[in-house]
Amino acid sequence: MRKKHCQHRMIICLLGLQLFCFVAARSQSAYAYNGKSIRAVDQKDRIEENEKRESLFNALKELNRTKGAYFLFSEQSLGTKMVNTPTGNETSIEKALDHMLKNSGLKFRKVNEKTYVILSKDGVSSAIEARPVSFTEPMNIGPVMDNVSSIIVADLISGKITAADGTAIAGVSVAVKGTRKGTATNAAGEFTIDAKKGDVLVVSYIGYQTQEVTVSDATTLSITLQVGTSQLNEVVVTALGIQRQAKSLTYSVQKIANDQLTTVKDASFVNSLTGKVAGVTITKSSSGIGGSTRVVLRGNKSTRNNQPLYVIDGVPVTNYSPAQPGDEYGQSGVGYAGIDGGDGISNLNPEDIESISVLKGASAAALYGSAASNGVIMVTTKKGKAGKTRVDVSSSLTLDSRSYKTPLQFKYGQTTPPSAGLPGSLDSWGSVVNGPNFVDPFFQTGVTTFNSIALSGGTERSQSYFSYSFTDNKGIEPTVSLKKHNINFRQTSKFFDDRLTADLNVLYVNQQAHNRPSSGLYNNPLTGLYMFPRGLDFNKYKKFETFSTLRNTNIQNWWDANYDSVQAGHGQYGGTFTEQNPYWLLNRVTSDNSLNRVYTNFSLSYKINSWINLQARANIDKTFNDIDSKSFATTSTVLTGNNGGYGLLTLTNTQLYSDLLLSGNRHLTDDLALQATIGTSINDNKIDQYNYGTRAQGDGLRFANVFNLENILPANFTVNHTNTSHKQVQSAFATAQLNYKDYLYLDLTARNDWSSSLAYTPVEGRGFFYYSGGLTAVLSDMFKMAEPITFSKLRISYAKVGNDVDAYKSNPPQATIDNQNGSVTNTKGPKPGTYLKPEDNRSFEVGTEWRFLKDRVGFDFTYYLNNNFRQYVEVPAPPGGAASSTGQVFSTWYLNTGNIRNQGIELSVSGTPVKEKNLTWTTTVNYAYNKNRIVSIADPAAGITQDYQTLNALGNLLYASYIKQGGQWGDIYGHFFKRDAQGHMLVSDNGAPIAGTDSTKAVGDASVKKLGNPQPRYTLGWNNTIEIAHSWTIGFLFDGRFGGKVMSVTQAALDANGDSKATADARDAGGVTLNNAVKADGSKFGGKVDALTFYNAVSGTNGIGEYYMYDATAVRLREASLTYRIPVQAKWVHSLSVAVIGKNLFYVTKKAPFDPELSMATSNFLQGVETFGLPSTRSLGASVKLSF
Amino acid sequence: MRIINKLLVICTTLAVFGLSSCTKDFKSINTDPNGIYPNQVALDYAYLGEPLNQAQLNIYGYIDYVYQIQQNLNADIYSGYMMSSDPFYTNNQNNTNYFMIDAWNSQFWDLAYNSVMAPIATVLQSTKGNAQFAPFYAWGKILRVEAMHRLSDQIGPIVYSHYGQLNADGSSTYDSQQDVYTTFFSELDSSIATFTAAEATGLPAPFAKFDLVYGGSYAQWLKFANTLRLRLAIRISNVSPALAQTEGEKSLSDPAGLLSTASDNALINIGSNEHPIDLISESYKDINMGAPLLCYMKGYNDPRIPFYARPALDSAVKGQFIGIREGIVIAGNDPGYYYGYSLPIHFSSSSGNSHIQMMTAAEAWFLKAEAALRGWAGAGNAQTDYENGITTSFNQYGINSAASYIGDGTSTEQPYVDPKAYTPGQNDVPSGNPNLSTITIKWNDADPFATKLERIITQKWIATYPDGQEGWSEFRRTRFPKLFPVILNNSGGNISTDKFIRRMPFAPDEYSSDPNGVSGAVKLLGGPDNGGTPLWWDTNPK
Repeated sequence: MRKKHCQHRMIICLLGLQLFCFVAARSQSAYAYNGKSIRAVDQKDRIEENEKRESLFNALKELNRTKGAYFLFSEQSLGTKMVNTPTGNETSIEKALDHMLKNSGLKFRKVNEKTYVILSKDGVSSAIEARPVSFTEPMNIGPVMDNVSSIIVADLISGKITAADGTAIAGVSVAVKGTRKGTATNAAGEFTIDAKKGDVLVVSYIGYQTQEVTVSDATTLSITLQVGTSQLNEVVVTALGIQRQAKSLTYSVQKIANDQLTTVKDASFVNSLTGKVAGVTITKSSSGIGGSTRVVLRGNKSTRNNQPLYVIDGVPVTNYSPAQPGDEYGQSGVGYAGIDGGDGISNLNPEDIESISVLKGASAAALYGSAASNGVIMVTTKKGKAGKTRVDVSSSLTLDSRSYKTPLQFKYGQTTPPSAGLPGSLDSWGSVVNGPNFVDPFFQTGVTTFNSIALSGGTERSQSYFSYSFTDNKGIEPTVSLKKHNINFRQTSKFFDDRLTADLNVLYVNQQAHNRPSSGLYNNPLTGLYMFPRGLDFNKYKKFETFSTLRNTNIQNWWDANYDSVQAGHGQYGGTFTEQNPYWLLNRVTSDNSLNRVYTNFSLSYKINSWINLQARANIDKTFNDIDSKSFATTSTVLTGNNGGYGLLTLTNTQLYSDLLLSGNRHLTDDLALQATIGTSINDNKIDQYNYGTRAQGDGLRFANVFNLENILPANFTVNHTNTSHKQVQSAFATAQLNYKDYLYLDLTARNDWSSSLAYTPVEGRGFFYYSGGLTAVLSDMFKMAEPITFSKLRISYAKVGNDVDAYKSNPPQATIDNQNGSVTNTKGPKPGTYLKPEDNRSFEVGTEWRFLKDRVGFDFTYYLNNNFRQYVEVPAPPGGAASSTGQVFSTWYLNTGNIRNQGIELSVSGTPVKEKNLTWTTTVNYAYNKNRIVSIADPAAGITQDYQTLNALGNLLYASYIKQGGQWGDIYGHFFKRDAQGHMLVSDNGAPIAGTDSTKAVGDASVKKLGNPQPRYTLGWNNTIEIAHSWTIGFLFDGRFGGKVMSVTQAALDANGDSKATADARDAGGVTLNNAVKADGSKFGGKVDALTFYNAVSGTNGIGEYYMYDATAVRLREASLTYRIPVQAKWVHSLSVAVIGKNLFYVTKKAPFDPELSMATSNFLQGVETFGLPSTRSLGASVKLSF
Repeated sequence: MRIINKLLVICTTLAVFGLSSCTKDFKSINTDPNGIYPNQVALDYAYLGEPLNQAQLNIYGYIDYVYQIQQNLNADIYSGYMMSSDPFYTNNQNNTNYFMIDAWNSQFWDLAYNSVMAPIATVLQSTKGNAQFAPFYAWGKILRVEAMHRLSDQIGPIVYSHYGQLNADGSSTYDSQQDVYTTFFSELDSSIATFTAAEATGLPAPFAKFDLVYGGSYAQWLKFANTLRLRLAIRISNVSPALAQTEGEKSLSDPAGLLSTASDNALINIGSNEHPIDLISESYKDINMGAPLLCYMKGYNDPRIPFYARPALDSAVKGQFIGIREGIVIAGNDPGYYYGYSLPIHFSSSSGNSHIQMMTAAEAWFLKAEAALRGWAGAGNAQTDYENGITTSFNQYGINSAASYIGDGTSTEQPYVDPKAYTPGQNDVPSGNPNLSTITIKWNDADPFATKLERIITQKWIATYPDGQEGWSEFRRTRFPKLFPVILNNSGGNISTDKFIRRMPFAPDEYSSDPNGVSGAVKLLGGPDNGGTPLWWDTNPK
């Protein structure tokens, strides 16, 4: 339809050959690629006071002729205004314009290197509102403008650009292909451009697919942008918040948009990265929703910390977990329950996130310095947008259930049933009882609701964004709950002719977690539940307490624990500390974790001139975290005092960060552009953690079951402040990117860090320097490529990044104070005669990206090699060590030694297999392979003979882990089968397997051997979006981890007690069949081994770990969603969509008896080990999103 | 130009910002707020006293489970004093039945070096050759000998005289047990000399505030050091009789004397800490009484029995004083199965024995009795010493008269019957069994040396409870008193059931951190590094 309103038919006047109208709403970096530089001649001429005047139009004509500039008016009438005549001696166009427009009531705005808009000072003020306007008269241009043949009178094409949900998008770039004509949409998403039928408009916007629209007869276009699946065309946020075109990057970056986080939400958004980004390995703690997450990018590199740096809007944030289980018992030093204290990054509301960039390699992260040697996860949060106030409401409800059941048996009963005065035995190797399954009813349906509202709006000069969200979870274990409130306010304003931009972002998080589940053998309801002797009546103990006349209060009621019976002389009723009444633990051994976090980020950015920008940022991030744990009297006295126990952890984490960045962006020649930043930053991070509580001895509390610090008996009181650290890092850095013809890019970064943690070493004063360099060639722009190739790029980069050490290590105290017993000599410190140095992480990566058939299909391939030298290790010194100058003899030395190598490949293939009018299917496959090797740990030259570092010693448990030279990071060690030279298992005459002995004592402990490594060999993610009829969207994501081995302590414990399904099957089958087993005399063992004999030999939490290693391969349908956008006619509704969502729906394959993605802890410890963790959940639910 | 000017201003600003925020605070930021640095603790000699305070507390690990794996799960059991009812999630394969658990058996080593040798080293370094600090120097050495002879008695060769020095290849040098004993004697000699001189000045000891045993009394520490020297001398009396006699006679003739009355007992005040044995037996439910000790005490109608143990709660043996035999099968690997057998008495302030017993006057008398038996000068009469030993031990528990006990010439160890044995009768030690002792209490001067020695050692063993380390050492030296061999022997042939375990293997931690050092130590040991190789002073052929 052709509209003939006069305002849509305009004549524009082109001064000069072409008018390139580029509007400032695009990122500043865009200028560099599109403009031509100005060659300013420096003269100190003064403008004469004696002014000649002429019409603006004529004056501009002259400028166009003499300086080649292009102009644009905001109002037609301006052309007749009288202005000063330029003297012709002005050194620049700006100066000429300054002179001309003085006292005229007009001003100008530069929109491009050679294009200016003339604006009325009191009229439309923003360039974004400027429209090309025609002059009616005078129009005496022909004779003067000899390089213009005629006035071009064109039809103007106008249109509106919206997102898939109907929201208008401001600032979208619209250009006429093959010309330099371009414009951008205004706040209402509208644009007007000079184009004629047959022209192709190129519509592009960050985060969306670039579209090409051919102008037809219609002069009004309606264009819907699709969210970008290809990351190649986009602008991505790189280190320090510097925005860069994806194609110019010299390293691999993967970007995740908001909808990939919020369609199927996770309370901790980081979990949503699984399968969507190649090279990211995510392990969740088995503490259910809101639990912490371990993220490893491109393999474990360090003996200390392997998690990436999190950066929000350019500023590093802390991601500290107040508590993690430290061993299989689940002790975490907090009160009595082994608690996962959650992590910092889970505090963010996924709805507030605009996008995430994952900088996987050191090259990408080099500019962030030492903290970023494990890569960076950059979060860009939402800002307000100019225009009408918009309200987004999002609501979802999911129902959670166990995604698998721990395989148990209920057929065979307690070995020794109860008899008079005796509770019977713990194990269930008895006769057939065919008891009921009491485990399934224990679990409940978890319910998670998520509600959020976001308001956004503002003017061109000032935009606001406000959001509130509430997450409410009821766990699948009774009594478990989590409530989280997030408030986010963001204000972005411009001042002083838009030269100064101020940006304030305030986040507040309040989270209350009750009985956050944890794993381990201590105070874990699942141990008592799974190992309840079969044949007894579990329901009897749902009433978890019973009145005691001896204590005049309720005491734990459990089949083998009864305080009164013990006092009456029945010692068998003492109970065990590993298997207590689950309901008692849930109701009488409670924990409450309360978190309050305030995050404030303030940034000022000042545009000094068209190509130099100065930015200052300051950030305060403060977290208050409390964990309050109570244990009532008659909880196992191994874990608590006779009168109960109380623990209080208070954590305050304060981060102060500020930086100052000076950025320049300019063309050096027509073909060569430079984008450079120099800056300095300071980051001060302080963690103050106090643990107060009763020691698990004596009475503990003065008055039983009164839980406050004052009630703790002085003799049983303990306080420690050891998880405390204070570190300050100061930095100076510079980065430069040279861009040759938009197809060849050279990146260089340099940074020097001074870290307080290296005080008292020679590094203190000089700091440590590192650098990176990279080169990218966009082959498809350099050479003429065959038709199917749309885009092709090669990139290569190298980086060296230092990493400081933990606080205080370089300055160990002579003693620490034990609050009960005075001082305790510190026996750990730098090896006498040496000093601590920063780690030295060197990485190389090379990659290539190709897209074919107009972006219908493409891939991105990366190979990387990372060597992390000078690892910080703590090695036991030889007995006696060497005395330091003060006579101190350390039994543990802090050293830098060794090298851990990671190399691997990442491949991401994306495509649009189907692209029909009403059906679009886009798909992405992410593949990553990583190979880790501990190249060295020992350093004989430095007298370090020990070639391993202990992560977890075996203790009297199943699992140990060492970083052993020649092995891989995180190798699991444990007891193993004794075998003959041919590898046959050796058994006793009755068939019981025998544990082996490692005579080489490879890791010091002869009873253990390497059993496997939990890291997957490779990971695969397959992400799909199918759009039907523009209103239905189906999304699904399969992901898999392949290879690796994990250990189940649960299974070992269940087998020992005869509670596992495996033991029942073995009993049903008449024993365990052993193939290829050999007896001591060398003869083959024939037949079956009695089940009890077999499991007595291998099982138990100190059994033969080798038997409890499982292939960690698991493939699952991670996410699925069906979204329907309801076509609502109401004017006030932008969009309304409803969705059915599912998470972790089913396993295509899973070999272990638990989810291998779960781990007891997300610290470096206990990786790949499961000990009575809460099973992972399957979630099904629905969500509604409404915006108006 | 304007731009350049602006740039200059900005660069200068940046530079100033970058440089002025220099690193001057780094040293204070990087100082551990929970640590003590040497300059903070000069007052009251705290930098000398605190480490020694800590060394005293760690002769016996006093925190949490440390004592349990330092000593309880080896010496306390091997001495026949105690036995665990807990199969320990190791399916009852553990130290108690000679299956050496590496993860446990580093504790005695780590504790001795981290918490005794290391703190004492800093004190010795700061005080060496300085007359003002001589008492600290001397005291540090006494404490070090007390702690380290116990470690040597567990494993044999230890790092001692070359402590704090490494060889070129990064390894450390061990002393043979013979050498280290010689060093102990000379260190005790010099410390005794220092204390003797210091006592003569009449000034209070500067370490009084840090002394958890005698509150800074030189006289008491002199008695202790003399008794310690006598203990070490008696220990080597078989293997090195001449040196033993020389050193022993020094103690016997020293004017400061030996520990002689119960009030002289060396007891470490561990403050408000729960006594480690109480923690293990009460909270952890991991240790009960051993069968032999209660068999002897019941057989002798020993009135100290209620001060040592509590009657059994298990219905099968309710009310009896009955221990668990060491190294047995625990039915169903059930930690509750034997827990109802006799527990050690509460070690707590309410029971009046919250301190850790390091050395008793009773022991001094028994040492003296053996010295007399061996004809050492100054030892007095063996019978008198023997009877004083019993009486002093009785006094320690507030029992005034030992006369009838001393005069009992008929009572002998009572047979052991375990009604809950996995295989009925398996654990019993019936009358007439060669492992059941026939020694009586009453002294008979006409008895041969061996009988008199058995009598002395048996009574010393009863009196030394609960210090299993000393009990086990003297059992290995003398094969007295008769104990019950293990039923389960999971040593893989390394340890003879009849000869009992002779030592603990070197700590696994040593192997990893100092392989060359340990291989040297194994040579000094003169046998394979397992529980079957006897120590230097253990010359008993049995």
